[in-house]
Amino acid sequence: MLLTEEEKRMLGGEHGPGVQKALSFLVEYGEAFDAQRLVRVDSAHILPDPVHMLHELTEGVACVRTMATIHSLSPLTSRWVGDLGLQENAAGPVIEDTMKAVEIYKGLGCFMTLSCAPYVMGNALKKGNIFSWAGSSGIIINNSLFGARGNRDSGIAMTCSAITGRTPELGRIRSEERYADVVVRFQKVDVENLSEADMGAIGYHIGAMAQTRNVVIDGLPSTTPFEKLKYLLSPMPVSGAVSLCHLTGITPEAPSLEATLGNRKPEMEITLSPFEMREAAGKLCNYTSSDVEVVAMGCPHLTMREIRDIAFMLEGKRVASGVRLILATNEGVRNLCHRMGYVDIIEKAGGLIITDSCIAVFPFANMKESVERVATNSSRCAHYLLRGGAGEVAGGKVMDTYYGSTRQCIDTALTGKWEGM
Amino acid sequence: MRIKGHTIKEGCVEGEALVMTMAFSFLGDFDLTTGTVSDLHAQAGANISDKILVFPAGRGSTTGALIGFYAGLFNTGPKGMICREAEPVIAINAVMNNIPMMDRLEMDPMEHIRTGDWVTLDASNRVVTVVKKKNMEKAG
Repeated sequence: MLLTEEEKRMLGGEHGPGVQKALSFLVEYGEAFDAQRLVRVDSAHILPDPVHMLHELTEGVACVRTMATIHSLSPLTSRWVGDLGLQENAAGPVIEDTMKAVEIYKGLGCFMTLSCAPYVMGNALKKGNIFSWAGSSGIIINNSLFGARGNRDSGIAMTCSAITGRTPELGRIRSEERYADVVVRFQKVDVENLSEADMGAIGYHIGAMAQTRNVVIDGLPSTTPFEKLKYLLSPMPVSGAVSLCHLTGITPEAPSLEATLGNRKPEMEITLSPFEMREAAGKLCNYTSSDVEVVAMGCPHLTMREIRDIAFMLEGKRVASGVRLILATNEGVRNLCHRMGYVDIIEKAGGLIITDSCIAVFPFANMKESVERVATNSSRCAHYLLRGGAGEVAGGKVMDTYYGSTRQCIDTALTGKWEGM
Repeated sequence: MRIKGHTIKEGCVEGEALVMTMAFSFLGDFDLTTGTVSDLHAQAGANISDKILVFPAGRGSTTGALIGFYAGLFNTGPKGMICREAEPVIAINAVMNNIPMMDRLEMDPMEHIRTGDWVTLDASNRVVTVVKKKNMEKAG
């Protein structure tokens, strides 16, 4: 790999042992993908590293070199443990280590957004910006909707980028790797009236088919709101590993279908009908009883508009006894919704809006009173609930899972009963 | 059989192959405390611990490499990894957690390696050697 004089100095240890280790990792990561050089990073979003690794990487580092925010964490780290009915002190060594790491990041100037949607709190990118982010939903949203450039970074890559201000030029950072290989068209689908759950089922189906390839979807209305697109994109890197999905007439690099293909023939063409949507939604449900115990929404974190709509649906009503309604967002959105009176409406109805937490890895094994059955409007979340979240070390538990639209989830919270799709 | 390929993480290990017929994520597709593959994966019930994992591609959330770190700590992770073409989450998992890994082999690993074959993954020299299970049985 060709390094600049400045990068050679970093690698030689002139900027301290932390920067040296971080740059050396980025070079090794880049070489695995035959990257020719490192490039400047505009933004990092970090999933905390294990503390002992972080100590090594931050030795001699006073401040990060980029805009940097911190990802959502286990609900066990949050101030909501009691309200959620979780056992006190259930956080094991892995979770405790994460909490210590967050304090170190804070000291380096990383903002404690503790959210998978830091773009709503100011870590926002524009076309052509380069990012090194954790969180596969944020990555596909940045690449697709904002036209920024980044890869599915993971592990210590984001910390290394934040410390050095560099990332290897590979994958979706390179213009020639941003063309679509998979074309998706609709057949007999009412694209004007797709619910969040329809969108999530479509994205889940596409991700499994496309795997690591870039996708272009043709035929969605340009008026489709951000929230719907969020549910469409975010499951693609869960059933698969998609990091870029153009939407013709909607996203910045997709003025036309031809523009996204770069005059090449696509490798794969998918025709999507209501049959594939039903089949995908079916893979996201698995239950025997219609009695739901938890309704969880906020994967990715709810936007202020989603919370407003939910508050209007709940106004003057009451969540059924024995049902927990858990809504997840970040502190910025929650504060604004508090000012708007939505938090009060939702709490009066018996719901709870939590922050800092990822509900896809909810520690259901650590509930004071056992729960088995959870409904969600997120296909991403449903996928992980069906598989026990992040596993036993994080209190994960395989759940009976119900998957449907926001409206259907709220109706279920009010009645306690799931009406099939 | 010797197959040349591209190295993601250097190192040399040998062990029994476990072939995954669908994409694999360290988050959700196996149990971190036991190494057992999730019920909803095509290879449900198999165990990845100490295996040479052969799979078409990585998938899933970016938490993957962190889970890979803990799998190493709990000794439930794979010894080495081979896939058709690595994506960053799985590649970083290998680099950060020091798991030898190769991709882009000259012959499709999904067709030429079967579960139970004895595989030497010499990522430092960019070559995979496969001894078929039935040949091993013949050799007694």
